[in-house]
Amino acid sequence: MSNVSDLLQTFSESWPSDRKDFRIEGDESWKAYAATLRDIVAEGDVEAASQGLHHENKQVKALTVRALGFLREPKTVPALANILSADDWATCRLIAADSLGMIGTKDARDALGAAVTSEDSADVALHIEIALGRSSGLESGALADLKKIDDASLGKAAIGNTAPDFTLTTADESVVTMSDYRDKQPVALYFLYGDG
Amino acid sequence: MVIPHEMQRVASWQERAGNGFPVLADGGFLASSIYGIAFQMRIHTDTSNTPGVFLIGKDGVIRFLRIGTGPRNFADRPTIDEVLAEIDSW
Repeated sequence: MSNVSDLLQTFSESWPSDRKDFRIEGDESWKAYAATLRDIVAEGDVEAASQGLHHENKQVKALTVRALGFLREPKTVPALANILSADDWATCRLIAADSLGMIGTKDARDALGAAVTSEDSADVALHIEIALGRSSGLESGALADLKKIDDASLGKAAIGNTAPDFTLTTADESVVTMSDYRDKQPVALYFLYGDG
Repeated sequence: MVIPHEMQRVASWQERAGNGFPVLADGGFLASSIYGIAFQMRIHTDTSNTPGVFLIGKDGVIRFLRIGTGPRNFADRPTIDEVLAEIDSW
């Protein structure tokens, strides 16, 4: 088996197909999700990663769909388009819309355009619309950031600890580094989610 | 503010937030993984981020945190009054 097959199999054990939505408090399987996504993308083996689309575990399939968005291989567009138009799990279709937007080729955009009229789920339809509204495919900074995730740093922010450091950019490309604020000013760090 | 999207998607958030503080693009889930809020939101899937608020003192030490929990964790965040009261207590 390739490294990627091993990664997907290990992930499958912590995210079984019949897992309940949603997990109990304190469950840390999200760490496996973050690390596996990073590792599949870092391996860069598109052929091996694509095998995850046929995995019996739907969670593995969904993770693979997301990883293929980061990998941006145009050859994977037909498979992702098929999931977007035909998968019976809305979550998988939603992530496929995101990933096709991240790939951003004409074929990917055509697939998004073709799916928009037949999509039943409002959530998925919104993600198709967002993907079609993108000004470009995946930004290189996001790919680089994903690869920087360090296992030892996952979930290390706790009261009494020094705020873990990171560097991110704003929309106008200003660079912000957490540790630059130390000894200068307090910081309120708000993590939002949202599709606006 | 940290948004789990790429730079092209955070401009609209910066407009809403004004210029008082930076809105950061975290499309690679880097900060959200480090701060323990990645891939845990409970809406259509828990492969999105849950909300999180962290208050960090001038010394760089985390003094307060709230990570969205419970079955509606996407709506679990402190009010502005709670955050201001926490800061006032320092």
